[in-house]
Amino acid sequence: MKALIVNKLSKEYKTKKAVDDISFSLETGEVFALLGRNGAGKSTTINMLSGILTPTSGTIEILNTPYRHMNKIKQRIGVLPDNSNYYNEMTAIQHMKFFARVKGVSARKDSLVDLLESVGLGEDLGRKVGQFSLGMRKKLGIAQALIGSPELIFLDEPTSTLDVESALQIRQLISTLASQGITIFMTSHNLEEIERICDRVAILNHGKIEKMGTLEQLREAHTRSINITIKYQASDQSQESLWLDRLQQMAGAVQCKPPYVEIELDEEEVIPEIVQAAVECKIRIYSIERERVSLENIFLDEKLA
Amino acid sequence: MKGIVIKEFVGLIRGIKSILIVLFITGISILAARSLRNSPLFMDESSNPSATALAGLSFILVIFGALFVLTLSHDIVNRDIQLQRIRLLITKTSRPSVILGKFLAVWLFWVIVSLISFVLVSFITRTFVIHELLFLWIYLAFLSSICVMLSTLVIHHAYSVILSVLLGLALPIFGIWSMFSSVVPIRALRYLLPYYPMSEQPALLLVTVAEVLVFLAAAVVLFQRKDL
Repeated sequence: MKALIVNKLSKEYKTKKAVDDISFSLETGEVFALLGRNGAGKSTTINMLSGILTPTSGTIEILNTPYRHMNKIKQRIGVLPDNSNYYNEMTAIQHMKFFARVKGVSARKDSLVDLLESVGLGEDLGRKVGQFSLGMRKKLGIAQALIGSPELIFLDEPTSTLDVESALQIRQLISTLASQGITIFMTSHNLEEIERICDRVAILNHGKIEKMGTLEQLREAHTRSINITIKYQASDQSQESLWLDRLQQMAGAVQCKPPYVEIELDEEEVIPEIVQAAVECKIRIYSIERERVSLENIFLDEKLA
Repeated sequence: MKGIVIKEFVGLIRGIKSILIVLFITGISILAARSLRNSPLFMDESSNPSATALAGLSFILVIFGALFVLTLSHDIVNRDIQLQRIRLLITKTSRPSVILGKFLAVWLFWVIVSLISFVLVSFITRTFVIHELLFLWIYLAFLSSICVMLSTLVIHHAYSVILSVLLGLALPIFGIWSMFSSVVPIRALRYLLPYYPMSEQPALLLVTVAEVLVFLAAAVVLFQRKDL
């Protein structure tokens, strides 16, 4: 079942088209990330989807409800906007109660305390938000997005400004929410984070989606050759030369830096033949590592393009 | 909406500010009633000193009410927009609810303030004239709705301060001027502003109520069209 359907969505300002005719959909329980450099249109997209900005054109359907009924949808979604602020004179728990009341959902203290604990603010319930660090404000932002058990959560840069430990805690929380069937739509600059927790990714450039798919699909589309690195040990130099000669015939490029050899292949079917040749030349193989195309490589290539 | 009303109302009523306003309005009401007892403005009440004190309360709120309400709450909406707190509200509830919530909070604050002053004045004068209070609440609703519309229209805090002061001074001046003027355009204002209805034609306060609804609708439309 689709949790979100976006069709030909655009946002135009006087001088600029921030989002240009983008379409995509999210399955229920999916973790979807929008990637892009600063000004690519990520926050504009998330702000339109969460009702902060009004789209110039296009259609949006959230949780099987058309966008024109956005007010009905608001109780079923959670949002962490990019630039949002809090009431400095209020404590964390007072904020949670206030937001719960505004949303029109249960403001039971124990459930709100649970939410604050889940983001690591359990010991700061009674502290005024004016005394909070940027990271703590971000955590409060995530906690308020979880009020009322939303079915779909929009998170704009959820781990920016967080320390390593807190970021890990939030990543675990996102994974837990996804495992409970909650759909997550997020943006992030942390490519490693996206690789770890997202099911699908879209790369946004100048307001347009350049690439979209699962990480495997993006890797396959991006991969032009297979690079492997073998750690080996030869019994004598003549056998080593013989094996390396055979590798030259099988592979596109071979670079030997004993005890490693880096090989570029056109197809993965050659890998067993390389092993076979090593056995015949009495070469001992300790490891074969296949280079995986990282999301960073894909993203940087898109930027260069 | 309930959450917004409670939050904003508590923000206004909490602290020394509200106590000072009540004391100021009550004190000035009694003083004004004493010193203006023989004024032509209080011809009807001059025979009854108690009623004069209540009329003094109305008089003070008529003269200074616009200035008080507008300067105290001119940033009721734009403050949250400028400080980027509004985003967290509009992702949780509808935009009309935010506007209506803010309006009710401002109005409720002034209703309570005027009620406390009214009770104090009534206690001192041992008189209770309920219709004066009801007229006053309609007038305060008029001011509160202007306040919310102004705050939605003018995003910059500095501009809304200036506008609120100017409007706070201009409204009673034009309102009272229209009551005595024979110049047609000025005279026409008596039907648009609540001063003449409050003083002479209470039935015309229905126009004021309609104006409250128009101002609120305008604020909602403006707010709906804003990219926040």
